[in-house]
Amino acid sequence: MLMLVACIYILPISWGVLTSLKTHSQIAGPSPVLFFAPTLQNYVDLFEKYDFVLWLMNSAVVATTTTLIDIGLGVVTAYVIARFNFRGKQNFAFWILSFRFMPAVAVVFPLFVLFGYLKLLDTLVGLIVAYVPFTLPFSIWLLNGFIEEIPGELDEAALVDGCSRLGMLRRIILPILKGGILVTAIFTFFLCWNEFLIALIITRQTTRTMAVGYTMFVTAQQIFWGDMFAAVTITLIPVIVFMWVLQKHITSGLTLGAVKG
Amino acid sequence: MAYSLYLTMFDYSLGLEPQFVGLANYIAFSTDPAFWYAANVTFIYSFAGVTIQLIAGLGIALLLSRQMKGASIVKTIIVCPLMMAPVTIGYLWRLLVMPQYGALAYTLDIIGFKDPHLLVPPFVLWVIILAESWQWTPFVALCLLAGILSLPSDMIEAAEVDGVSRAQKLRYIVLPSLRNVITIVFLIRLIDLLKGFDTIYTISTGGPGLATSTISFIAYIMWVFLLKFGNATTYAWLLVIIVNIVVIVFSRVFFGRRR
Repeated sequence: MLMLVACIYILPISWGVLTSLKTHSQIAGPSPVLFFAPTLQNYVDLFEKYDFVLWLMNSAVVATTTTLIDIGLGVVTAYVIARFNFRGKQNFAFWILSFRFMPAVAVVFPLFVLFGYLKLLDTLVGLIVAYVPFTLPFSIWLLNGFIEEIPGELDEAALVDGCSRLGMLRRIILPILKGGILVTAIFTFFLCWNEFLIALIITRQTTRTMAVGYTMFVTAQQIFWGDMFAAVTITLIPVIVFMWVLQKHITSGLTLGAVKG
Repeated sequence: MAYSLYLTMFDYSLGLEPQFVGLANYIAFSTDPAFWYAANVTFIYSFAGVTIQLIAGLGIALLLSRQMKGASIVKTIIVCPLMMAPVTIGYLWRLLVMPQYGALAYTLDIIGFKDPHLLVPPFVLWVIILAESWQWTPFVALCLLAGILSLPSDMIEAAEVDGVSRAQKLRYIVLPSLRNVITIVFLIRLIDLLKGFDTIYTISTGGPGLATSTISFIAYIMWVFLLKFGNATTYAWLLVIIVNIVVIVFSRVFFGRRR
């Protein structure tokens, strides 16, 4: 039974990878081809015909920077939320959470207008500026969950010993939080990496991200499946690597929010 | 309350000059057939999606909770789609479903559904739901699995000692204890589906005509193609309001005072 489930998940992905090794006529022929002589032409095309490397770089830069900013701001904010009780805390928490409810569509148009005005269109900085407000609440929420796991007595002990708040944060909380930070970082990274709508609207040729790049394979006449899946396969590699290495952490991070509530 | 706080934070989006007209837009939407059609699509898409994902997710979670060998390998495999871009998965499924050379279409053809054209209504929407569910069911499954694994084992053991059947155990012990997790997952997925955009764009771009356009999507279409900015933003905001209402209602109902 479990095998069936695994198959359902492996088959489509492997089909995609196989497709990247076919010629166009093999892909788009009268019926799907299972046995064929593989060719790497699609991969070559990727680098010659398309700005593949550019897209990758753009996505990587934006995702990494956003993640770093998120973690930096997030840890501090999450700590404050977790430890201190201030008036309106419940509302504030809900407000932060409510960003997740925001459909990108609602924000995209004003963002476009605003950025046009600020000359931030088609710039990596613009993308990052757009992504941080979107991903920060989520990071804060995750980090908050992780910080709550750390007993407050630890803080107090350190304070009693004469440590400053900031020093305590750095020396005690941070090391314990490492796993949580890692999980949050991965999530934020992938959130940005896979983001589509905002990138679609805000980027032009120079700053196009990977996600929008995929749409470049779709033209009015036909879809260049082979090339597209070569790109997909390449971007699949880091995903699989991540998964394999960090499986345990990810599972705990994913479910942390749900189970704790 | 919290919602008005939230609204003011985004005041730049309503700072368009048609703000005055904007109010009239809010009234006008109720007579726009496109909106109601899209609302219908959104409704089907969201609820079908969540239902499928919850049921399938629960099934997978139960399977995984038995701790059979190979369970962790399967876990690793199924978590992959979550990290992939929805765009990627959208195109993947579109490839699988293409009339002549799509693997899925071909398989159906062999089985007996001759020459399926899955990219037209009424199938298109279900293809999209399928793709979305394929990507996110593992998420649901993992959350539910975590919930199942955290169930106090003494309760289960007591039931087993009493000679309870598997089905009864499921219904009376597992499910009620999972209620909180299920609700949260339900909410998260519902909201994600209500906002959904990427998958629709890549598989059918709103469907032949408007067949698979959700509210989110027609807001996009209005904006980019019809250039009806006022309308587009209105619809988008309506969606926001709907989502918020849904969340607040559900939260109150299921959680009582918390959150």
